[in-house]
Amino acid sequence: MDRRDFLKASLFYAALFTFGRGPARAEAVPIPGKDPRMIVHSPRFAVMETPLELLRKYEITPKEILFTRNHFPIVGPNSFMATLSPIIDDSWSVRVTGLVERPGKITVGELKKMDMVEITCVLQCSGNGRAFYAKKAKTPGTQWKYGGMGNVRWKGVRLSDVLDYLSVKPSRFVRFITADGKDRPLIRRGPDFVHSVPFHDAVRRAILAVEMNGEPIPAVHGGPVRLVIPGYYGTMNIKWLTEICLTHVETPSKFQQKAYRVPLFPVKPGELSPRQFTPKNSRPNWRMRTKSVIFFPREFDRVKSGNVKVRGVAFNDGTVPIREVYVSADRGNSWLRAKIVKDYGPYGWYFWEADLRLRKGKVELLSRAIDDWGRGQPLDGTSRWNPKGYEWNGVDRVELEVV
Amino acid sequence: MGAAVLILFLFSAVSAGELPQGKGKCLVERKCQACHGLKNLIESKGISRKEWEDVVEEMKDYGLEVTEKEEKEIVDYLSKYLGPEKERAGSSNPR
Ligand code: HEC
Repeated sequence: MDRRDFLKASLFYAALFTFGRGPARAEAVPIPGKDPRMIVHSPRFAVMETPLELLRKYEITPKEILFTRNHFPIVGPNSFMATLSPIIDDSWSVRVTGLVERPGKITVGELKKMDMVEITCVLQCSGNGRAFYAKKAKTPGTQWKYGGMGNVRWKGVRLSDVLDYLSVKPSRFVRFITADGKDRPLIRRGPDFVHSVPFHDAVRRAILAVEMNGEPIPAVHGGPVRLVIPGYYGTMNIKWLTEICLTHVETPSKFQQKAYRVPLFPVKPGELSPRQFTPKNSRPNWRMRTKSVIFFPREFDRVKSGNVKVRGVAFNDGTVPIREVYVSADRGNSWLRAKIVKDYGPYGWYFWEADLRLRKGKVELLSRAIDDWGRGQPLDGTSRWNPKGYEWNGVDRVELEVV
Repeated sequence: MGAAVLILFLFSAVSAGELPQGKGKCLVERKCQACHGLKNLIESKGISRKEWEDVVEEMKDYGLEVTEKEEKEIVDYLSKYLGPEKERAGSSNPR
């Protein structure tokens, strides 16, 4: 970082800090170009959530309102990520290393000349919905409600095609791909943000994406190239991709071993600490759990008694399709099957609607999705309480006062 | 009534992005802003002492450097001033 960069970063920082302290003042969005209505959870990491009022307006979530989540401060060596503009660099390269006959390297320029696929996926933070676990016991971290997700269109080259193109020839001992990006900790001793996912699954799903919603990927969303693993939680979709290492074991990074994990069995608050996580008692936030969200009506909508079209979205890990979505207006005593009116393929949002007759007064609406394998949502989402509050997928609930 | 006002005051101080006054505040401000802002801490307000211990332990994994004595003072502060509501200020709920 040269002196000018340093000055710019310090000024930016100073501005952030000042805004961050203003009593009850709306905070400046830490990424220029993001909608000022975004909920800023951490200015220094640029962690931002989309308010549900905005999220539900679009079938494909525009870049201006898509949530952001980073793991290091967006200054110094990481200041490259603090913009909604793309990073235009065809010489940016991704190394493929590890248990292979021939390590290789592919540039963004080369990727752009290869066959590409387009996939619409739900990009969702594994902490999305963490705030709802507080009904049982609050868990540390960003208190996301609904807006730690979006429906995003990616375009890129299949990982399997990249491996063929480079003739890396993976060893039969390869069990994981371990991906790393350009972001790095500011503290010398800090672990790098790296994640491992099962090789057999990644090879079938993953793409090296170079476009998001029809444009080069904005820097803050991981451009110029991002590892997109459809159906996997956002954290596994490594941004600013620089290396894919084919490995026999998962990375020792704390981000894989002590965080971004859930226990394999139900635990009570205080019973198991993240420090005690091992590969035997926990697993990483890999495939997404089946989930549905009511988009309309919400608590802040004015609803008149009579016929009401309840609508929302549902999704899962894309392994099998979403089969049914049910809604209830009587606390789950009876369920009405909603109609799935539109989908964007196995990995995107399924849009659903149901016509309900609502009477004046208090009502609680519920929604519940089920996929072809019968994987659904727990009636009480806190039954999946876990020490770090990941993977919330409880039946969605809206309390309304119908007028 | 006095307690309610105090709680309200604590609550509003915390939501404005400042840490409540108390023993250990300076240490927390010094040690916990090297990598992120205080907002990260305030957002987790309400977790138990054991969980604050785990958080500080996790931060050591990310590179936080503290002596045993400092760690205790930090955890004492966090669980007293950013702990569960009932442990923080009697049994009444600020909302
Ligand atoms: C060496 C850098 C560093 C220091 C110093 C540091 N933190 Fe953190 N902290 C992090 C990182 C990195 C994350 C985000 C982890 C992630 O992305 O999952 C984080 C996240 C958090 C969170 C969110 C919950 C979570 O587990 O992710 C809390 C709460 C927190 N820090 C509290 C503290 C407290 C309290 C201190 C002071 C005792 C502190 N931090 C000092 C690096 C640091």
